[in-house]
Amino acid sequence: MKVLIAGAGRLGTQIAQVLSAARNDVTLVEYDDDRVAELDSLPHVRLVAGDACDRDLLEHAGALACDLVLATTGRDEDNLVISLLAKRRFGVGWVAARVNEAENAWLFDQRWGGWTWPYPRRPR
Amino acid sequence: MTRRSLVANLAAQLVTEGHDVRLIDRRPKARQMLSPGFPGAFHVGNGFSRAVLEAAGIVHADAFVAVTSGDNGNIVSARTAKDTYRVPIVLASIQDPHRADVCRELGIPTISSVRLTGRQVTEFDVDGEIRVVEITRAGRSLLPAHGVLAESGDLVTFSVTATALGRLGGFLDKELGT
Repeated sequence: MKVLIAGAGRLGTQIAQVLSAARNDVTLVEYDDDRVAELDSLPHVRLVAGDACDRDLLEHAGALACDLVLATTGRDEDNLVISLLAKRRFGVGWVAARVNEAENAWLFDQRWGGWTWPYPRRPR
Repeated sequence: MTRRSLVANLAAQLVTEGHDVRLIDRRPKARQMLSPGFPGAFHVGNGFSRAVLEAAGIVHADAFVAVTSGDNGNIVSARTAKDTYRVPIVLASIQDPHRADVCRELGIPTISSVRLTGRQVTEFDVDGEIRVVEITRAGRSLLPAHGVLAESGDLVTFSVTATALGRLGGFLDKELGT
């Protein structure tokens, strides 16, 4: 299965590791160059540096051929826009997004292209 | 939802015209940029929070304008206003041309906060590519006749061929120094 994950935080990175260990073709997109450099040694995961809300970057990262897109950034509005692009522009079959703030959970439904799971933030 | 220059002026003008204006901003401090006697309500919170939107009266709103500095947040709140709350007039300010496309595909017109005041609006026309099709001033539509000058608070609507979008964007950015 071809998978694109937007956001290489703790959640996105863990999912990338699990899915790539299960022999899926995983691309991880991350905005922060430093974080990309940090993850350089991640085995069997293709890393792409850039803004996953940018449709050109998503296309370049292979969104058209993806079976699954996961939006796992720390910002709910970004996750919603990534889901929308994945579903509407790239026709991705499965789209899921992380809900960062409980009060935004009501937005995460079919209107934005995916299904969701809540992921409460750890206190810092 | 607020970006300094644009919003304080827009809000003040709408109040002058007798509209009931409500503002939402994440930062409590944003209230300070409004004039001291500003009669409109100010709600602190997220522009796509159901509780905040409903407290601000979105259910009965005639218009909703999303003008934060974040394109994605503006897309989310504008679409929520349009599709969830059926607000009749919804506009969003979008900086990135690609995201402006996304917004227009959702049926939400985008606005750009550039300073056109005092310029002849027809000077932006490029034959076959860019045309000013309408000016909305104080709630009324004008056809942009030759010699009409843009006034503060005008909403200028452009019709642009897809290939000339970049050109218009660059033109508004550079020529006008915004």
